[in-house]
Amino acid sequence: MKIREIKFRKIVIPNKKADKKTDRRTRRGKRISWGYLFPSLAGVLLFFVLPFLVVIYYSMVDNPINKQFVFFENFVKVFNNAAFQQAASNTMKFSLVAVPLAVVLSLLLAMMLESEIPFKSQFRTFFLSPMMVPVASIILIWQVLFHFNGIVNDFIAIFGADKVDWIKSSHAQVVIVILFLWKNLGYNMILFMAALSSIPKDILEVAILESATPFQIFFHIKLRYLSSTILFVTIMSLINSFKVFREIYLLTGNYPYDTIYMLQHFMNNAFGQLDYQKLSAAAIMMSIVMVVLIGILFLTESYFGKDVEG
Amino acid sequence: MRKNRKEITKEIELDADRKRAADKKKRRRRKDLARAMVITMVAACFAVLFLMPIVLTITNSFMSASEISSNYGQVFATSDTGGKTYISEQVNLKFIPDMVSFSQYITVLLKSPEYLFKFWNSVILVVPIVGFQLLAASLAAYGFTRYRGRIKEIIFFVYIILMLMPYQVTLVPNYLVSEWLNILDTRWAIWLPGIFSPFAVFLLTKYMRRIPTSVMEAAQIDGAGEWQIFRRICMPLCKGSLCSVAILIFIDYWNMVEQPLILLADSEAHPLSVFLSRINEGEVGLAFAVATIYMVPPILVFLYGEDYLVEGITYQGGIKG
Amino acid sequence: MKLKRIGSLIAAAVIAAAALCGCAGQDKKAAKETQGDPDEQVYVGTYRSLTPDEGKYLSDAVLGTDGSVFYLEGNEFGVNLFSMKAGSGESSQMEVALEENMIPTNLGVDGEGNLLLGIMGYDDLEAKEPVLNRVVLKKLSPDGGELLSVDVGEVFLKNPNFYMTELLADKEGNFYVCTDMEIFVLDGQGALRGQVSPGQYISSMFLMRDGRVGAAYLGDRDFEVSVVSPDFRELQPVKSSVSLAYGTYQGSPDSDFLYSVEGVLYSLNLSDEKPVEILRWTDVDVNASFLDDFKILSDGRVVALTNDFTIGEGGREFIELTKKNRSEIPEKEVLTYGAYYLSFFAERDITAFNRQSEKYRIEVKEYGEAGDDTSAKVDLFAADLTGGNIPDIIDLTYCPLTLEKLVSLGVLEDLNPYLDGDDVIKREDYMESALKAYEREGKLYAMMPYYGVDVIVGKTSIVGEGKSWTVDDIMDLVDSKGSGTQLLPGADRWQILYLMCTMNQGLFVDKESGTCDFTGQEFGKILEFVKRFPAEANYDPSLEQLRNGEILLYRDTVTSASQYQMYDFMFAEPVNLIGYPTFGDSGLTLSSNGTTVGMSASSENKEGVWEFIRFNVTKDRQENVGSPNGGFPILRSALEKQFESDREPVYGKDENGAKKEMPKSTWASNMGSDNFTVEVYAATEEQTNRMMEMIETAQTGERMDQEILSIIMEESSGFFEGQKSVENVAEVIQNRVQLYLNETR
Repeated sequence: MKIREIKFRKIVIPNKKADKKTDRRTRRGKRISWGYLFPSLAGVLLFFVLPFLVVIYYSMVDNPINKQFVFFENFVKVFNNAAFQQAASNTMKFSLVAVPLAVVLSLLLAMMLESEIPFKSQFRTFFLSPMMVPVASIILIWQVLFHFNGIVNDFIAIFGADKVDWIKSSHAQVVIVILFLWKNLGYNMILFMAALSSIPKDILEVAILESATPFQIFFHIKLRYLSSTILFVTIMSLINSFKVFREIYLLTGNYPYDTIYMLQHFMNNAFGQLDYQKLSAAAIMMSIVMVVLIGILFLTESYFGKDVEG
Repeated sequence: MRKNRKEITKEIELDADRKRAADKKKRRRRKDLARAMVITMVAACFAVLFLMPIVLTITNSFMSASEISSNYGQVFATSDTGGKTYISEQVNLKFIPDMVSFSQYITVLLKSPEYLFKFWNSVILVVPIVGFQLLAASLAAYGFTRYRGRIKEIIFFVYIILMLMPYQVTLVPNYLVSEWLNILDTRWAIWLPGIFSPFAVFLLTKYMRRIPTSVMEAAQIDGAGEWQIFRRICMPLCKGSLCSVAILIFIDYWNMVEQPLILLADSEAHPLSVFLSRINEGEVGLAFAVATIYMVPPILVFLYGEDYLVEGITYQGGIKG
Repeated sequence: MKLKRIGSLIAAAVIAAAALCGCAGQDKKAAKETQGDPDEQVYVGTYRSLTPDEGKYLSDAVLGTDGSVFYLEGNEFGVNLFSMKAGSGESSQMEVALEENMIPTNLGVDGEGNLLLGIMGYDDLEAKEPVLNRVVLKKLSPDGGELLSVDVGEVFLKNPNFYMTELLADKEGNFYVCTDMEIFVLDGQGALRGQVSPGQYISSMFLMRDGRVGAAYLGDRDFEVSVVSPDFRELQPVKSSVSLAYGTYQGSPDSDFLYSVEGVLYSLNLSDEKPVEILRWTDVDVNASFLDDFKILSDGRVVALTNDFTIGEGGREFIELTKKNRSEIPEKEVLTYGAYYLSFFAERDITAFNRQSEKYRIEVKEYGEAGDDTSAKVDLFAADLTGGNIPDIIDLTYCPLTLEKLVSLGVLEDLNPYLDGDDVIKREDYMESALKAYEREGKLYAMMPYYGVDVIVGKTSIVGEGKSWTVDDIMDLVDSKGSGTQLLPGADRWQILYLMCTMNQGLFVDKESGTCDFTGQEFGKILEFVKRFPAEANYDPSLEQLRNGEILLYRDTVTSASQYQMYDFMFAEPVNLIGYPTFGDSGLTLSSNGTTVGMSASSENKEGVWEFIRFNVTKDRQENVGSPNGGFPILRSALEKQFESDREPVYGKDENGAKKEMPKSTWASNMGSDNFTVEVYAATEEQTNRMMEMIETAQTGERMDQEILSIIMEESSGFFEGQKSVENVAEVIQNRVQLYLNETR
């Protein structure tokens, strides 16, 4: 609110001297704020932007050793590559299923822990625990669970179901979604718990007094206040959906069943084969999609953010 | 004063209303209790599922090598040619060892000191990254928070895109850059890209922007300089989020595998995570014990920071940005 | 909450402290030496061959404390002691008073520079099997004067097969005699003072500076270095913060001992935290795998004895290394040799090349260490390739990237212009099929100096006399035999699958169009066939099974024409060396058995690289340097010469003095637990001709892609275990292989 007051004052009392002073001050502040940004900016330029430029360069040469300039040939090749198309569609499917699921389920978990139940903080710790398990243990245990003769098959056999070859069939998608959710629900839940507890209590009380149903309360009040957190959690889940690749890769190898063949498999294999031009072209195409996606998310966030504030 | 009829009926109605409300409350309380029980049960089920891998890792680390290989040996068995034979007759998932054996721990801790060396390598690689990344990122986050403008927004967007790049994409260029900077095969090749990773900047900026601008503006009007605003206002308010970010990056780098493999040719300098990611048949027994030891620092960091983590986010959540 | 926090802090502190303690002794990586400093002291070698004259042999050699070498040279009339001075290289015979039928067999030194002689006495050397009846130890002064002579037969003659491996003496005059697994300690009068054994083969016994005697051997778990206890009753492990790995250990006057591990010579004082690195053997053109003995002299010179067992009698060398300023050494152009694993051949050929070349010097760059897995090594190599640091010479034998991949990346230079333009060697002198092995689309990428032929061996009565056969032939063959018949000795399903698939990629995969078909009948038939064989390998096949037909075939790489005789013995019937099953073509392939290298297309010194490639295939090297486990030379004339000498019979006399063909050598091998030795006589013309034909007709044929093979193997286990149907398995294989093919397009 203060900003507006200052602006207001500025208009009412046209004091040129003071105006200049604030102006100078603001300009100085701006400069200083760039100074704060500088170390990180320099580091990011050197260790992230510069390598990315190298990636762009690689995407336009015939191979990383000859380095003959071929412009967009690699993009065309990669775009038309059946494996790339498969990988892109699988990755898209995975993200479309896993990310919304992660958001919804973690919100449900958070609301569960919001209600009056015992051992709240213990449950919270338990849900966060998968974050700490090293990748290798996860792989060991996942293999034991989803093995053809593993526990999950033993379990469903109790209900008379046939054995399912979890990792080597189209069911593998289910396995990796579960793996992803298991790993990431906890942290998302924490973010939602924080947001839930910050919803002004008086508004909720008023709603209850007005005999609003829990559903009404949820959809009309809570969701409204949660909107910015939902977008934040979505971005975090998206990031993590790329990180979970390492587990998928270790679980399934270079060439998994084709339904869980992800963009990262494509890139990883291209890396192993020294096909950096393919890898780079794929990476750039992926980042273009990313830019669009994140851009949309950002626009939505700023739209909703204003809505709540106003 | 005599009450007129209307008033009396109103009072009676009100009375009835109150009664009804009380009844409703009672009923609701009973309903609440039932609901809480159901929710607790559901939460407990989830908790079991979530906890199982950790518990398994820990209990299995107390099994002798022969017990482990008899339980799951064949899951991890490899054929002569290196192809995994993934189908075997029987797989037992056991929570409780037949006989508690410390042999794995003795091997890991006493017989082969290489695991301790590798553990130490992990510490040396990760701790500076966490510390300095927090420093660089909190400065940058402050820079992004104050005087937001179009250019800064664009840069911030670029940070997010860079953060989303999978490691395969940047690994080779990273190798080239560190070679160019002459830091290849030294820990700097891991430290520097780690320290300047955009991830913490993104998170901290997100948090810091939730601090109302008014708070900072007020301080500024009171004559506080940028450093004071940063040091005396932003940092204390962000304590919780700093802590939660620290936990996240600690866990992230604690589990890194690919970077050391490529950037540190000397395998003696590799962290334990590299070893853990490539367990073959013979070492599966050890793997559980090593993994257990490996989990100790993240668990400690986590237990230490957990309350900050929740507190921190909760506080900022209260203010919209 | 607070308690929890404090608790975790304390725990963290304890862990950090423990980790710190555990790592206190960790070595810091030494800073890389700066290269090219003109005042830097570097070792320069003088190499003297100890080649005996024709008909003579060297039985033992030892370095004296003054840097001279003593050696025993023998012929059919007796054994004589010689010494060679380090500086001048002149050798002289030393007179030793020996009684009749006494033969000096072992040499040793004590700490004062005296020479020790181990002498065996026999009843009658002319007899067919002379009986050992005396063992004498002598101590001589460096100029040959006899100081002591003791008869120690009483101690050793209890064992009729006694022989010594090493001999030395400590300051107090005690003798230490090492047999394979034991060390005997005797006093100056020849009385036994003690006897110790680690229960393992002792690889080195050495005298330490303080007079104690150490022994190095491969123990149950690790390599161990121990010292003989003062009461000569046990071996006590040495205490050192340095981890002592597998290598050669020797005594030293200036430190506790010297040792050579992984190509580096170190000097160690046990009280120190780390050893002093003296030199890297490759830097002075010495092949570390040939090292026998080494010493550091008081003036800083290093002397060493090597024995190149691939050459036979001419292999011993006496090497003297003197320190010089770098500026005094003529500068050479450096070629880098990139290898994933530096093979024995490569090391040998590189040192030989470096010694003779005045212009070039090869330096080795190894990618990763022995324990690292392939992907890590590929990553390191890849980083060098893309970073523009491509080694000039690329080892192709152990390169995990396929030749096709390297070619498609444009890493390798076509050698055709070099071969055609060379004024020393000529293309037509070389075996065409061996050149073809590294030829792709008309371009030559490497010349393998030596190679073997991969074959499947079977009785002619079973496999017929054909030169090739098909997958169906093998199936029919097994069908015609009773159940329980094994195809290959000790083979599990994987090996059978490999046998059936490796040469038949073209049947299932069309690389041109990038499609594959594993769902067809043929593949199902192969899987059904493989399923008949046991999942677990039978690790104890016997010769008997091979002879009576229970085991049909034997898989091997042929590296000598005389191997025919071994197969004849094994099968006890005429054999046919046939290739892997194919569809009409020859199933024989050649595999490199030597230093096969490619030239980097971006090398700035291609002439130098060519010189090295040429060096390995020149007449001199091809005819005189073999490989220890055989292999055929690429040079036709050398191959013919080899065959010729294979056919040359050796004659001796039988009991009656009549001329009789004697075995040229013996081949020792085993089949399961059946150990057998085959005496090899002259090869027949027919055998060498057939071998020549095999080499000439061998295919360059592509083996099945490793990735495809591993997918097949992984997935087919589901069918073999009876958990999935052939159709299911084939479908998954089809799915995954197709993905692989799509990706690589």
